Amino acid sequence: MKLFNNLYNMKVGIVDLSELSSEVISLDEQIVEEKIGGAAINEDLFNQYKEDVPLVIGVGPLTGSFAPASCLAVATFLSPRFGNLCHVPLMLRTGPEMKFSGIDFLVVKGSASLPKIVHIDKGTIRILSAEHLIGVDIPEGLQRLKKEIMDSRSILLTGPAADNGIPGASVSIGFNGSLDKAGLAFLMASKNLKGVIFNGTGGLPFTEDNLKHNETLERKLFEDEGRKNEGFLTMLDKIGIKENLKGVIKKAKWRDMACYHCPSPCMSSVQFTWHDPRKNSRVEDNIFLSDHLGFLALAKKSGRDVFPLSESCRRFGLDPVAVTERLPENESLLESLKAIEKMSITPEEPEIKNESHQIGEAPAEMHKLFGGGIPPILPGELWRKRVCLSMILGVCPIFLVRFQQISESDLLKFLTKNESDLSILEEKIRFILEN
Amino acid sequence: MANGKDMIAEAKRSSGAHSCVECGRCVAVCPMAEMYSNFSIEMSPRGVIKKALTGNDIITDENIWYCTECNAGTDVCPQGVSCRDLIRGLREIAIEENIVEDLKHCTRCGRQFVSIPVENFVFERLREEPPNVLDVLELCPSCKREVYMLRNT
Amino acid sequence: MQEQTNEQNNSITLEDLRPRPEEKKTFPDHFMPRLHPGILFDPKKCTGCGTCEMVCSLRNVSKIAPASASIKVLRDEDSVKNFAILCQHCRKPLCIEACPTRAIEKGEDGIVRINKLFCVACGLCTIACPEAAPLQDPITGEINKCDLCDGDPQCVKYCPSGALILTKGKSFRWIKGLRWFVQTISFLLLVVVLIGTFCSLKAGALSLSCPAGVLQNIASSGVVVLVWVLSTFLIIGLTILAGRFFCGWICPFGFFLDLVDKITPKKIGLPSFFKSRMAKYGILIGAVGGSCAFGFQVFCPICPIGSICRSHGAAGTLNGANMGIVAALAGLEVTERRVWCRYFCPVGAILALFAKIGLIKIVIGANQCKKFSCVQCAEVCPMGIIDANKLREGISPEIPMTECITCMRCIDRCPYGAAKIRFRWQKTIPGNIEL
Repeated sequence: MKLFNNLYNMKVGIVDLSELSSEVISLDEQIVEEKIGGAAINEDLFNQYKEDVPLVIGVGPLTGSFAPASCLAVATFLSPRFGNLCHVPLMLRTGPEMKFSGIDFLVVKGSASLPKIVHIDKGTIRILSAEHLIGVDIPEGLQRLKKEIMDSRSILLTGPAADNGIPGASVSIGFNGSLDKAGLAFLMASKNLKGVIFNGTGGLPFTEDNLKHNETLERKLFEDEGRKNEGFLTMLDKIGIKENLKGVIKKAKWRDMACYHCPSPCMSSVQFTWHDPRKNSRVEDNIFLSDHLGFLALAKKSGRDVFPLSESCRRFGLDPVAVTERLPENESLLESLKAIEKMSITPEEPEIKNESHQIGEAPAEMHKLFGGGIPPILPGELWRKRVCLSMILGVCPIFLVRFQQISESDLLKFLTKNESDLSILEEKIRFILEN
Repeated sequence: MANGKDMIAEAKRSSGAHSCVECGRCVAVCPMAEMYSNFSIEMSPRGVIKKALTGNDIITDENIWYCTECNAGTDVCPQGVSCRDLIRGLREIAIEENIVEDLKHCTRCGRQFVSIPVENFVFERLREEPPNVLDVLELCPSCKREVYMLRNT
Repeated sequence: MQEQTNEQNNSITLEDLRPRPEEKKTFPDHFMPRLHPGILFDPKKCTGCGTCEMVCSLRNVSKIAPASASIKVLRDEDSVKNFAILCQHCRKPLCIEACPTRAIEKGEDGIVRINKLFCVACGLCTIACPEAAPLQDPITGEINKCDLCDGDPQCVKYCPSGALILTKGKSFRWIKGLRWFVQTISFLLLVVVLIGTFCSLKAGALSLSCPAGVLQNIASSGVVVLVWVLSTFLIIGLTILAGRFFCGWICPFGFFLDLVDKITPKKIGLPSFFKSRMAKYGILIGAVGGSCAFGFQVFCPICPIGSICRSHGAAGTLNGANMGIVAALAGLEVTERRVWCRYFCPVGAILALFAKIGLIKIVIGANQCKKFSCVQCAEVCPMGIIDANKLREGISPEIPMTECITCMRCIDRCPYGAAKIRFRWQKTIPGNIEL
């Protein structure tokens, strides 16, 4: 349909790491008409390049638009931890930066002999060497990258844990972590892909009445609930929080943080002080918390030390849930920190995890399908539908799961105001959701 | 050096300098006329293109460092010559061949971001400002923003 | 713009085509000055969503392209803080000075705009901007400057957390009128009506005893007259309540100096070795010590305040030495404002000591202050205690209440309500912006 032309660049980037080549081809309009976008098209592309073990990252039609929380990019791959095809959401500013950098979908196939970074800017793909970033922890790696490459607005980086082949490794969006619990970083490391950089300097002509539609939606959202249900803490409340955490939480300074165009933040930045046993002094630190389930897992294990442990996980690019499973019980902070550091160095065999590792109402299968990071705060089937919808359209799944007032047709109105088109789209989505 | 000559030839070709008909429209819109009291024909886009086309010592000429790279000349050129691309190409060659480098380095990150004559013009115009303001102007745009943010948080 | 060659200098220059605008002050400007609109940013509320960039770019280039917006959200990953940078519409914009084609103008409504007819996108304004405002579009090179959307800024409207606030700046200055009125009345009372009331202790039961005079009296005569000491408590009490209010609103010599300042607006400044604020304490000690040594009040005869007080009426004329001192001090006003009050006045010295334990203080709130782009308070302060350099760097200066004469010119002048009076115990760490 013509209406998608304004919402996509209609370009797919194909990177072959074995040959160290890249090309940008046109996105097939037929596929867009059938599958609309996001995870659905990702899956299609994945099947197209199946033999080369592809990693597909893609956006939806609403990504970057005035739809609320339109930040989503979806990474589709065969999970080394769960063994099935996974769609992991990448939030913050990944989706819009990718779209505005000129391509809508990125297929990375094959694997390189030396570590590489893929850099996308103004529709051009460059493959750069990344050997000097191996073994370097994430903040240091980010600094080096930013100094070297001027135009790097959004960086996806794996940490030393991935370099050493740890299955619990997690990719990090900037220094903010991610919802990757399916081993995306492990997959990237097996391809020798150290990171992906998007430099979104372009733009797409979304129309002004989209803005007004968004205004109406936001007003609808907040008229009953008001702005009280915001921030990391309220999300934690929804998924359960232990009493002994209250003390630690109160002492820290919380500030709400939101993804791209999100009117209701679900993440926070925390300023906390803790006693660092390695330096034997009180240290003041900051951390960006976006991973609710990870934080909860760490909190259950070692309530008081949850902040420094989270920061440690972030630093080495480790998934807190995986870390929690391997952390011994009742260890001192120093021991735990050392254990985490050791964890990021010692490789282990990737195990296929069969059981669901979170509380919640979503069925374990569904949870694994989406990377295991989205908080399951709705009953099973409803959760699946909302998350699927968000993954296809390119809006944040956590936002859709929190706010049920935003209906499917509300979101589709961003695409078209035409009644008949709307119903055609709804049909298609229903069809996709069935499969 | 042979390599240098090739690079100059390439710069001339890719900027379309050979199409110049010397109409002078670029000079009419060039802001350099307002910036430098010693503005001369050699400094103007037309002059630089002419010298580049007729001689090979354009690299050592100081006149290629006055341009602000605003691209106004390219916008009005009827032949589509990009004087900015030519100047940029020539400057790159001059730096690479280590002949001369009249670029200002950011005091914080070391990157070059503007040529010294242009920077001097700005400082001249702003000379009445106190030193701590002028210090900020020695930074490249991204450092300026970072410093600004660090001061305010 | 005309081409200038070295030979002929009789061609038209830019000065003729577009002359620099004159700073003309008409009478109404004193009470209703030009508006200084601006957008204030509250970092505590910013969630980093970037919606402001989206709507701004929609206006600039009719697309959603956050890189092309005139507002930029900086995200610091170490301290996890967000800061929005945009044009502050400075009172004395540096970009206007730096533009070679004089394309930038400050309009009647206080908004700084770029006239696209003259702009050649050379980018010198971006280099010259001390606020590091994003002016140049990184892709097209075009200069798109914030123009407050002609009075209805989009970013303010669509910020979901209300971190951006538009302020037109209050313009009516009422404190000025009140203060001149009070100063005139007090002059008339102290000088004309009740002759010599301030320092002379002979005006019957009621007298405002000059604390310096009383001290010298005690030192010289060795006798403490309780009623005179008690009557100095009036002034001292006033000082503890309201700082050196006497100096700013009541002192007749102060009034005289303010009048002299009006006719000598251009100040040539003093060399730095003269500028010790401690000198007045030295003079106080000298006066008291001298009175003790010589047995009479050494300072009172030459005191200029006393001279002014006693100058009216049959008994008083300004005799030689007094005339000389008053004239000399009036002459010193060409160097700085209120030179006597800053460096020499012993009465001021005593009041300063009590103002140190005073109840109020003047604060310049950092969040509301426009810092570099305004600096009016520093320019208008007669005691020169607001550090303009600190303001230009973006730090709110601490105001020493021992020097402040509570004239409140800063509070009157500040268009954004950043300069205010607070009780000493009130927290002045930048809080939320109050409008």
